[in-house]
Amino acid sequence: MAEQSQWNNLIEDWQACEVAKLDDKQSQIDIKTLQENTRKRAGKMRLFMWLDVITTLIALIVFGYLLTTDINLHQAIIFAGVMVIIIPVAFYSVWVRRGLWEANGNDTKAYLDLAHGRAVAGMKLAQVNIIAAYTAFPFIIAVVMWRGYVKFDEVDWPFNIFVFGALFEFALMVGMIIGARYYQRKKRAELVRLEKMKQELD
Amino acid sequence: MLAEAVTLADMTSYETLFETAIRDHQASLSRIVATYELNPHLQQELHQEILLAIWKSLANFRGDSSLHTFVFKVAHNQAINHVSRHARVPHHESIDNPLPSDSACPEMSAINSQKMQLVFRAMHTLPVLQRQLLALSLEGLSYQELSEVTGLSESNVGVRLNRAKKALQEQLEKHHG
Repeated sequence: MAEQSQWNNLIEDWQACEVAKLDDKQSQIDIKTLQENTRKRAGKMRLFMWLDVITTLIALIVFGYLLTTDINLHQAIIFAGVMVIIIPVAFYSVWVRRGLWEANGNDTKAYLDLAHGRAVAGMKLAQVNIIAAYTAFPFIIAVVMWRGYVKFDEVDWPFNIFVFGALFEFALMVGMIIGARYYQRKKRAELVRLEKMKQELD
Repeated sequence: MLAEAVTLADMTSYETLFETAIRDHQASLSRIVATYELNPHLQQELHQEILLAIWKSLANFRGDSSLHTFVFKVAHNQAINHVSRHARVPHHESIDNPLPSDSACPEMSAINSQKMQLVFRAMHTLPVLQRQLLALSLEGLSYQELSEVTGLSESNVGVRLNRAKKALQEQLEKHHG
């Protein structure tokens, strides 16, 4: 009885409690800013989706062009090799995120499942990007250096386009791997917290 | 022309619904933010995220539940999202740890009552979902509404809420020595 009365008092105090700074902000809700933010976020999502699709299409077109025109063997090998990686990665990234775009108006349990699914998908995508980087870039570097080796007598060593090209690809590979690993760490931490919350609900 | 007029009318009613939802839950939303986040900068961020989530989610509001329950669902889901994403920020401590002193939590000065500052700090030592149940119950939601928001059965809500109340009580007693 005393506990119930204490609880009722707490409810009264709670509902009378104000969080000053946030309440001040809330009194100036700017719908235009909200619309703008929503539009920007939706635009960003669309941009990433289209980038996935356009990158794949460009790669396909270039590959098709290279197959039907007079190209050098090295270019053909690079594009063929990269295509073998880009196309499956693009399809996998769409497949792994299927069903994860729903709005967040569901109950906590359903939302935790959704957030968990998103975090797992994020980690998988990061892992695939790391594997793709470890596969594609050494392959490109090898072909570029092979091409440089074929023209060994025609170019200055070590300051030539092939060496710079290989170094550039190497830098890209390192950047991509560092970025994907950072993203993966963030998602893993998120996953640990989500799993803890899911356990609380089970 | 007609389609344009209909869209504009829909937009106006959408804005009205949103403004009503926020106006009616203004204080509650601030308390939800304070329940999940103590850092004032992250509080502002979470607050904006919640407003944005409500703005976006209202398009899915079909009146199956009350606007009240709907707003709390979205706000708490967004808060959970926030907690899981800010992994480096400690969001809850061991329940055995003593509560931080007033000087360790200057951001609590935004809350207008000393007693409530203590309650918020005590809540921050509890697991996230206990905090959720306590906050929702303190906002006056019934077991049925709590069940709708959390996805737990009503009987389960009752058991868990009692456990959360006891944990809160223990924390408050520890603080008073």
